[in-house]
Amino acid sequence: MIFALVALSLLLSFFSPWYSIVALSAAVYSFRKKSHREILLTSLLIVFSHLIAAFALDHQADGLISQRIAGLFQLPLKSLSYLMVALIPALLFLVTAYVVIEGRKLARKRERKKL
Amino acid sequence: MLIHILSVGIGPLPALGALMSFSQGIFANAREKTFDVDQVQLPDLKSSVEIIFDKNKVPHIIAQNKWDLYLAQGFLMAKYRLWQMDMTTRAGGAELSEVLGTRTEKIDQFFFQVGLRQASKESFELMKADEGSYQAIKAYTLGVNSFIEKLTYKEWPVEYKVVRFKPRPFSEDRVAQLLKIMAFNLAARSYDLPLSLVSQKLGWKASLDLFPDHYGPGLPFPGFDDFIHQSEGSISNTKTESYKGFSTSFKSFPDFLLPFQTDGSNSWMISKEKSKDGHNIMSNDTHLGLRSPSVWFESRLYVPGVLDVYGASFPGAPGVILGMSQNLSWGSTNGTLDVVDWFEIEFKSEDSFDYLLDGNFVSARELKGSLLVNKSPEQKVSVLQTVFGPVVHREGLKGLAVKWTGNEPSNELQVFLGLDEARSVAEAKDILKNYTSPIQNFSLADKNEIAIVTAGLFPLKEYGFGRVVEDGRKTHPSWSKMVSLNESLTTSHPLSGFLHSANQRQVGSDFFTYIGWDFEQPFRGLRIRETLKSKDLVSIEDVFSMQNEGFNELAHYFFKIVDRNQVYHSLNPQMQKEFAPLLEWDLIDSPTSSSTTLFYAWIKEIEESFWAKPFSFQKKKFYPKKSRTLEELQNRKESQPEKFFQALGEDFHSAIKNLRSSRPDPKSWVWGQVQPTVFKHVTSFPGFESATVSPQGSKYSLNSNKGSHGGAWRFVAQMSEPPKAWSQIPGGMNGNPVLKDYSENVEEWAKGQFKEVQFLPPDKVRQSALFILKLAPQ
Repeated sequence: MIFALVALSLLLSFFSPWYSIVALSAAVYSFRKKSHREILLTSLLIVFSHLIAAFALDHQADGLISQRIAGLFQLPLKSLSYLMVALIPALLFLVTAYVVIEGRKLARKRERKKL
Repeated sequence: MLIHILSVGIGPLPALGALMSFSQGIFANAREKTFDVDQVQLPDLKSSVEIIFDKNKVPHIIAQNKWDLYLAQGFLMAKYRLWQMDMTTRAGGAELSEVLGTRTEKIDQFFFQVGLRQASKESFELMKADEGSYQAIKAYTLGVNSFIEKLTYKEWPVEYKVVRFKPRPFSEDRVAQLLKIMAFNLAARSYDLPLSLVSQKLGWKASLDLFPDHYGPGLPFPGFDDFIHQSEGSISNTKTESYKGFSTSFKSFPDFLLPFQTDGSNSWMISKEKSKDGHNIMSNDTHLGLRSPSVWFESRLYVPGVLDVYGASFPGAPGVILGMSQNLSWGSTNGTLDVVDWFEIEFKSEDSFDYLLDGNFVSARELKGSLLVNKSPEQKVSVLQTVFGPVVHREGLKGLAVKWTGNEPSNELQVFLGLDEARSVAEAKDILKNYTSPIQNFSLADKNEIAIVTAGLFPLKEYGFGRVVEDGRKTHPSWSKMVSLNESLTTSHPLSGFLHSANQRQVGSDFFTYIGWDFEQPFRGLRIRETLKSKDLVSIEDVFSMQNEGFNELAHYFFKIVDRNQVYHSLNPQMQKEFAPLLEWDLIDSPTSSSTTLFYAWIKEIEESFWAKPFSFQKKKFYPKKSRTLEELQNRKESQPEKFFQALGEDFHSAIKNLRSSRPDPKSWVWGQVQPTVFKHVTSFPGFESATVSPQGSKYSLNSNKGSHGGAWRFVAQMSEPPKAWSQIPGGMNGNPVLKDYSENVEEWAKGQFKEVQFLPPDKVRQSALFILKLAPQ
C-alpha cells in the first residue's frame, strides 16, 4: 500500500494540478489508516522518490534547473533545490494526512461528548 | 489553504507547487527543444513562410511579402524571447510593476514622470500615420500574439511561472515603447545636476577648469581631442568661459536623479583603397549591457526582389536595426551630445500648478495616468508639464523640469525599415534625414563609398548652455529651435582611407551650436585612429584583432606622463616588489595578469589624492574625468618635479594597502577575477545569469569590457561581390534559462571568435540548414 501510494504521488506529479491530487490521496489514505508511523514513512519515501526524480531530470537538463532554483531561493547549495522539490509533496501529504486523522479524532470526541 | 499557497504563491514567494511541478513547472521548460515542431499554422499569414536556421543557428525568414515577413519575425521572436520583449517594451510604457510588483514600482513612477509613456504614445500615433511602419507593426504584433494565444501554463516561459503572471497580448504601441526605452538608455546621459553643485561649491571658473569641453589644451599630446568629423577642429575652451551659469537654489538632488549613465560603442570603416582585399569594410561593436538573453536577436529577413537584410534586431520591434543588405552595411555608435537639460521652476505656492515664466504665472498642464502594481488596485499618478518638460521633482516652491529630445514624438522605425531596404550610402543618408533620437553616429559602407553620418535632432544652444541646471523662470534662445545635424555632421571619402567613431566628440569648439562637454573620452577613438594610421593596408584579420584588443589606451597616455622606472626607484624594496608587474606590463588588459588591477587601483588613489579634498562636499563621487586627471598629473610633474614621483609612490602604497584589505590573497588580483564578465538575467533574477567569463579588456581598451557591459553585437562586413560578414553575439538565440542554448556563444565571444555570417542565396543556406520551420496560413 505504501509503495503504491509513493508511486502514485510520483506519477501524479507529472499531471496537473498534481499537488491537489497528492493532498486528496493523502486524505483518502489517512481516512482509512490511522498510523502516524506509516504516514511518516510514506512521506519519507515520497521525499526519497522525488529526490531521485528531481536529480535525474536536473541531470538531463545539465544541472540548469537546480542552478536556477538555488539562485532564485538563495539556497547555499544547488542540491538543496532537489530537497525543496521533494519536500513539497511530502509535506503536503504529511500535513493533509495529519489534519484528517486529528480532525477525525476531534470529531469523534465531540460526538462522544454529545452522547 | 496549503494547496492555495502552492497554486498562487504567498508574498514575494512564487507559486511553488506549480513552479516545481515535474509536468508543468520549470522541469517542463527544461524539456523544451529549441527546434521542436517543423510546421505551424498562423491565422493571419497570406502565404507560406519558411524559416531556415543556418549552421550558426541564425534564422533566415523567407517570405513572399513584407506582411508575412514581419508576422513571422514577431512569431519567431516571441517563441524565443517572449519574456525579454515583454519586459523591455513594458519599461518604456512604465508598466513593469504589473508583472514584477513593488520592486519596479519606483522605476515605473520615474519613467512615467520623465515622460516616456507619453512620448511613446505620441510616437505611436506618428507610426500609425505612416503606412509602411504601421503595416510592419501590425503584422509583427499579430505574429507575437499568435504565439502568446496558444500558450498553456506548461509552455509559459519560466520567468512568468516564477512571478505567476499569465502572458498578456502584445499591443501595437509596445513597439514605440521599446524604441523610447532604447532612446532613454542611449540619450538620457546627464551630469548637469552634480555639475551644478560643483559650480556652487567651487565656483563657475573651477567647474569650467575641472570639467572642460576639451582636454587637448592642457595636455602635451597633439590631436588628443579626436573628433569624429574634423581632423583639425578648434579645441579652445574659451568660448564657454563667457557663458554665465545659473546658480540653482537646490542644495542637493534626490539620488534617483543622479545621473543617467548611457551606453557607447566602436565603429570604423576602411575604404577599398586602404583595405587589403580591395573592398570597403564596415566594423561595429555596440557596447551595451551584457544580459541574458542578449539584447540583440540575429536574423536575416528575405522577400525575393524586395528586401534582403541580415543583422541584429531588438526583440520587440520589427525589422533589422544594424546589419547589412547586399549593397550596404551599417552600424552605429552613440552620439552622446547633450540633449538633456534641467530647469529650475518656481511655483506660485507649494501645491500650485502655476509657475513663473517671463514675469507672469502660467499654468502647467497636469498629465494623469495610472500604474498597476501586481494585482493591487490601480495607482493614480500625475506629472506637471511645463514648457521645459515634465517636472520630476518638487521641493517647496521649487521644481525641477527636464527637457530632452527623446520626449519628442518620433518614428525611428520608419528609418530602420528604410535602411533595411536601402541600396547605397546615398540612399541611406537620405533616409537618415528623418531620424530623430537617440542621436547616433551611423557608419555606412557600400561598394564604393564609406561615410559617417551623425543623425538626429538637436536643440540649438548658446555656448555653455545646459552644462548646469538652467533658470526656468524665463525663456531662453537655446532650445527654441531644433535642427537636424545630418548635413553638417556627415563625412565621406576620407583622405586617410578610414573613418572611425567611439563616442568621442564629433566636432571642435568652432561648431555653430554648443553640443555639450560630457563626451566619452577619446582613448578608444585614439587607439582606432593610431592603429589604422600605422597600417598601409588593413585586412579583415586586422579588424578582428582590433575588435578584441585589450590594449589599455588610458595606461598608454598615463605612462607617457609618468615614467614607470622613476616611480619604481622612489619606492621602498617591498613596494618595488609589488610594483614589478607594472614595470613589465605590455599595457594589455589580460584576465590572467594583475597589472590592470594594480593600474586601476593606483589611478583611483591618485584621483583620491587630487580630488577628494576639493570634492569633499559630495555624497556621491563625481570627479573630473581621467583626461583631466592626466592634465593634473602633467601640471604637477612640471610644477613640483621633486615631489611628483614620491607622491605617486605614496598613492601606489595606498593602492596596495586597499587591495590587500579587500583581497588578502594577491593571487586574486588577476584582472579576470577582479572584473569577471557576468551575463546577468534581463530582469536580474538571481541565479538566472547565463555565464561568467573573463575576456581581456577594460573600459579603456577597444574590447571595452566593463564586467556587465561590453560588446553586445560585433559585426564586420566586407562589401565585396557578393558581400561577406562576420558576427559575434554573446548568448544564444533561445532565451529559455533552463536550456543550454541560453548561454551559447559566450565562451567563443570571450575568446574573440567570429562566426562567418551565412549571407548566401537561400538555396545554399537550406543545404546546410540545422532545421527548417514552415509557417502556413490557417
